[in-house]
Amino acid sequence: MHMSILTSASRKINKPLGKLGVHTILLCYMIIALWPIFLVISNAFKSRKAIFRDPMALPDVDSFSIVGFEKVLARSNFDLYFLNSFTVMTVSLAITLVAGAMAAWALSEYKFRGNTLLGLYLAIGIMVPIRLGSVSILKLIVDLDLTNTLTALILVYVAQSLPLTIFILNEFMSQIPKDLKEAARCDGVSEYRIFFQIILPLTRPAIATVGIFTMVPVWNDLWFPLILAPGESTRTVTLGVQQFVGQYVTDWNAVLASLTLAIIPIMIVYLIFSRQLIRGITSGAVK
Amino acid sequence: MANIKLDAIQKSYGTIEVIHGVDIDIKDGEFCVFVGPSGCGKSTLLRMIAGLEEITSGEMKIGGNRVNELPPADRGIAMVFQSYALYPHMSVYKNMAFGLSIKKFSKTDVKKRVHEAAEILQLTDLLTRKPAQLSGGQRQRVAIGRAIVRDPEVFLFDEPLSNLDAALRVQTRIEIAKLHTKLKNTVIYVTHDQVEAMTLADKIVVLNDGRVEQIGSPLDLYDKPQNLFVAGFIGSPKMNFLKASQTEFSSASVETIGVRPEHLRQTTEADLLLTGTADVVERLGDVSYVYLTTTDGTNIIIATPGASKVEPGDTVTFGADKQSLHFFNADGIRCEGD
Ligand SMILES: Nc1ncnc2c1ncn2[C@@H]1O[C@H](COP(=O)(O)OP(=O)(O)O)[C@@H](O)[C@H]1O
Ligand SMILES: [Mg+2]
Repeated sequence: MHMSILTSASRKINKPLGKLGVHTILLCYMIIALWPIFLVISNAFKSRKAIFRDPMALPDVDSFSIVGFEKVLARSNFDLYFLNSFTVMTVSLAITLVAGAMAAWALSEYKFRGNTLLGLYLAIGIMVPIRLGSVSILKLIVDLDLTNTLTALILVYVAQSLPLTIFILNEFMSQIPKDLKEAARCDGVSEYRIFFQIILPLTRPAIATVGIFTMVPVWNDLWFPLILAPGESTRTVTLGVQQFVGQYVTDWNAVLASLTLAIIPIMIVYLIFSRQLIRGITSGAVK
Repeated sequence: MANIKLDAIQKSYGTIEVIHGVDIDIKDGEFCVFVGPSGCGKSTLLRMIAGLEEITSGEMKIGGNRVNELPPADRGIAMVFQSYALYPHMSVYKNMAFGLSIKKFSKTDVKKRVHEAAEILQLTDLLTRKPAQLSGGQRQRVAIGRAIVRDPEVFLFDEPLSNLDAALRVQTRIEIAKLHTKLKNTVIYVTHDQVEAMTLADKIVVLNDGRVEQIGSPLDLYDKPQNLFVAGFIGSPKMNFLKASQTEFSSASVETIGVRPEHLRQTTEADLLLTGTADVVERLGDVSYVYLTTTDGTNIIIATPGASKVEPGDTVTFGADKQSLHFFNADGIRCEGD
């Protein structure tokens, strides 16, 4: 199904632009998208003077320096921030995906009273940014005595990610042919097994997509760590970096080095998910 | 024992009634075919028997027990879907074994059953493949295999051949017939194709618009269609219909006369005579179909022997004897001609 969409789309483009045109456009886009990341990484390996003298230049023998990395690893609890960020991201991702997939399955498969209403209520969650509720969230977290805990962050991120997850997975699950579920029911397969052994494997590409969508904003978020968990022991990477950003002086070496380090884990998780994406597409052919 | 009894079965979706009180009796081991035009409610009826669709009113019995409230898994049925409904992420083996592993069979027992079914359906070499790597006919066989391994009391088929090409359809049809003689389970088979119905069935149920038009053996339906619908639906090419008033059989009770294309022959001496101009002649080798417009403007199809000399444009006379005619009254119900 995916393949046919891809091929028919490229066939349409073929005529006015040709393969070369398509690739030129994609290449340009890639360069624009990757340029800032490239700058961050290349400057992270340069001395402070070299960064300001010629920010575009690659590090060479003269300008090469890892002073930024040394500072980050020596002067701050970077490994702790790192672990915090990673814990928050993976736990909230796991909860979001499991709870979201189950909710989406219930909404798409079972007819019950208030089904549509519940779906709409969740869809509103996509449109209203969760930061609007910051004040009441903070109050709630204080009342629950969860300030300066990773649990607070995880709860908020799960709430933030669930609506879109449910919305997308619901759409996907309702496209799974009805016959598959009914064949399983005729075989006496329980609803749990239908969900875990048929529905989940078939929605894997969608789950991977949703996973990437949820994970990136969580990893990059500064707002909620700042207001809910600013304590030294619960700082995340994004918050930890801020100690190098001063009102008057910013330690660019350290900032760029920590940003470079921060890319690594999310790259790893992305690679895991994107492999699923590709596998999902090629093994498609549902019929 | 798996005889099936449908008693005044009704089905409504909201306020729309799609099955209007159906009574059917199917004996143990019988091959029963539901046939009817698209949208007449065949699938709905089958799905109610399977337990996938709620029964609005009426009583359903399988093996003498009321099953209205039973879930599909407890009805002793196995269903083969039109779309095959194979699990795309599982191998052929897993597809067939999946339903068994739930039923707490031992591993060796599952293996034995799957291999037996694969043997019967010539799937042994394909057991490790995924459905996407199979041809349409092979997928169909896997779908049947998945039903066989469960050794159900009743097989339910919903238009299982409609996604196959013509040659494969005939071949698979014969395989299904062989399978039934071998396994002797009760079978309910849904199709819109009257040829499939005629060739496979012990008993045919003709459905139209949510109602049973006639139930009988293939030859019953062919020889004694109870109404105009069945008369027109069973047989290929279709039965010809004539207004009785324009023939020698004009009478108060008879409104329509039906005569099958294969019962008309080129003659000037018969009980019913039709004269007209041949518009088209289709030559299939063993048989030639003549499309005739009679003098009063009725279109008639005649099956003539392959060597027939009739050419388009010829004016010809065909006739049939009284015993091969079908008479229908003003309500379209079969009656005796006088
Ligand atoms: N879920 C449904 N809701 C409303 N009407 C339905 C539904 N399923 C089937 N129908 C209607 O019931 C009738 C019979 O459908 P179906 O049993 O699928 O026909 P067949 O299998 O003979 O082609 C059709 O008119 C169809 O529109
Ligand atoms: Mg149907």
